Amino acid sequence: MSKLSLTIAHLYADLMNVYADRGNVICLRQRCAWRGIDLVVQPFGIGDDLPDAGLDLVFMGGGQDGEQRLLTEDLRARKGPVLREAADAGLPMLVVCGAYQLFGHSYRPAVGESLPGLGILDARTVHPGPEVPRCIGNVVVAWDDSPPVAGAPAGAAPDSAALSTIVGFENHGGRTFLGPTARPLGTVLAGHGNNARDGTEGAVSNNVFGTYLHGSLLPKNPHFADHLLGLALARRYGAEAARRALIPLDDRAERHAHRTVREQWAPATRWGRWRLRARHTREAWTRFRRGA
Amino acid sequence: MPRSSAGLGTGGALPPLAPRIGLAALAARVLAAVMRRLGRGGTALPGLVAETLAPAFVPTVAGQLPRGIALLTGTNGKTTTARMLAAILARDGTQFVHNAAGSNLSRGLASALAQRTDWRGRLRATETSRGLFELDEAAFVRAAPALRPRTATFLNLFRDQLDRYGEVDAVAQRWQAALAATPRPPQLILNADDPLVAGLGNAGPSPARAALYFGVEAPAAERPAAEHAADIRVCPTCGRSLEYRRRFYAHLGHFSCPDGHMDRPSPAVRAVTVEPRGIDGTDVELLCLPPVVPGAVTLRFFLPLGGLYNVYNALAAATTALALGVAPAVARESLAAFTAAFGRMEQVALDGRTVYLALAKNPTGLNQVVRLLAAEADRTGPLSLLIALNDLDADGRDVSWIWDADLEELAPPGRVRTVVVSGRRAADLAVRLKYAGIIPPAPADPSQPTVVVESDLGLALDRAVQHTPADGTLHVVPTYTALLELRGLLTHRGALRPYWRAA
Repeated sequence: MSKLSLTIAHLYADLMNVYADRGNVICLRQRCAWRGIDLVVQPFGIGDDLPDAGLDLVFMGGGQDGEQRLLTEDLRARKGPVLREAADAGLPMLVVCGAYQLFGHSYRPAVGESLPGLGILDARTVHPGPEVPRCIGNVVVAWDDSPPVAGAPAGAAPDSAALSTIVGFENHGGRTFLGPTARPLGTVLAGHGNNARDGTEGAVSNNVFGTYLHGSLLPKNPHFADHLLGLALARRYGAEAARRALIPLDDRAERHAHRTVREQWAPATRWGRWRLRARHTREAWTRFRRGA
Repeated sequence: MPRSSAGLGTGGALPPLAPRIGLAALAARVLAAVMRRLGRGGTALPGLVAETLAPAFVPTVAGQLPRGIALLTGTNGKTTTARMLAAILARDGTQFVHNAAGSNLSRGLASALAQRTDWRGRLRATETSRGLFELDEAAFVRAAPALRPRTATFLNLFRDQLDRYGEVDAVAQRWQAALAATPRPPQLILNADDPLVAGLGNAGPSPARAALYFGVEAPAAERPAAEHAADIRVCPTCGRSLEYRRRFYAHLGHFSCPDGHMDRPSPAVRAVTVEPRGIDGTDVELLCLPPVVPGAVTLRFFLPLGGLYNVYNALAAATTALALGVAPAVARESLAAFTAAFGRMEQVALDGRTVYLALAKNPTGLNQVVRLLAAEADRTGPLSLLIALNDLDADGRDVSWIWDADLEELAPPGRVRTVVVSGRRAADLAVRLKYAGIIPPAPADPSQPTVVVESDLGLALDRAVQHTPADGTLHVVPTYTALLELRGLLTHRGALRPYWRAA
């Protein structure tokens, strides 16, 4: 069998990487390399046109406000039409934080006029104003692992049985509210999620996944990384080949990191919850003493 | 030369009695003495008490310093640079007060000042003529206008703890605003190679008093490709990406706007030779030009601290010292005899091993340490490492930043012998090292480095020492709170003196 190969488009890699989102690309590349799959990472910056075909995955991370403004027009006018069409055709995409906001219908910043988004995800983001505290902290989400969408293999993530949560770190001012055609990525067990109100985190539409989670996200969530790779492999090589290519890896380190976060911030035991409260108290005291 | 600040409203030799200030100083000094007796190196709490009792404590007392205040800020290198400057001033015979114990918030200044303030609220000016204060990026903004510094030195501005400081552009704007709000504009001493810092000189409040710049011009210091943590920098006027003729690390280099809106300023003090000698230090040659010296002066010396970032620290310290009127030879002698600051490439002995402590608290800092370690491994053979990652408030609760650092540089075979991974987020760090290719993805084979994951720092230190050859060197790379914890452990084991008793 010839070597399998995937191409991932990394959008605005230089501008949209304020929270180490490149860790997601490192993770996908290594998980492919360990299985003998070639992963070609193609950067697309301002002024670059996306090809109509040949892409297997799209990734875009979060950025600072100023950088986000720089690329909004390029994203909408130059890349928008291709991305919308590809999303409808089932191309898997992962968009994090600032990119998640831009993939929705609109983003109303803290000051100034509302910015139009791509509308690929049925979501609207509103910034409640500069005086309202940002949503910052560790997040644990119960992943709504609903039946895979058409085209994805049943066993896309063969090694995911033990992990049903997604963990990461959020830091966002905007509050995102989902429309009727987007479903959340999951339910918040710890942290704020989309809007700190309705208990949802992220949005999924077709094979497009939007989320606020950094961390970096994928290295600590190997089951989710493999789910994305499974979707991409199935589209290119068919379900059977995808199942065979996704050899289970030794994920003990990743799972340990995942469980450490989950047990610390969404503890299942009373003792764990008590320790979490103690930690919050201790940190509040430290903050007071240091005047931070 | 103004002898006291307007806040005191006197032109005489002595400020009026200020009982409230005196009481606050007394309380702080008693508390500091009690804490020392209890064996706790409290550097912030006495200052907090003083500022609570007398909110104007710091500006009132610091305003009595006859030769003014030198302020120093930036993301990385504050503590090392302040110590370098302190060493230069000490050799020069200047009496000064310095927040040496590393508390770089306003209360750290209050703690330091309280030790020199009498019960009448008067600074014992015979013992102290100058203030040398390091402030963190946010504390500078709050404190600078009231302190009215004579000089303000800006080292660099990197991405650090976004959950605490915010984005770098916003920090630069707040610095600008704080300088504009300072009644008597200080002499600015700026890093010419950092576009965010150099930009402070253009819009300065007093164009009459031009900023002094320092920068690197040595050919050997150049790095072929930009590393990843380099934030892309755009010209503030036109929004186009800056072009670099040369790039050293992160966004430091010889930059210019493609449309000519900004260009790297010409430095008054330049490092014209930088020859790295591994972790032991660097051979440097500094060319000092007017106005900091009357004619061109060359300072050639061995800086006993490794890494290009320490060359920048030495440049900043030398430029500030020259601006304060210190003779160039004094600066050279002090820098050549420098010993590392608390946990900044600090060297201690433990069980026959040499232990290097190299704080790394953000991607740029970690990249510098990693690059230095990689060069050290190529020089001396595979390294024994202990890396510790905490996520407490002082470290930044978000550990994502480890994915922004190029740990891949340690992956080539022969660079790492053993690595012990520790701290509250040891598991995250282990995953990072695995994806960087340092830890093997499958169960170990003998040619791969030995890996230990142990979140308890005490146990991790034991394991790391065990895995280090009997007369070998252990390199420890901790985040801030992990460094404090390690210092405690090392002190307990007799490897170090407590830092509040050190020089």
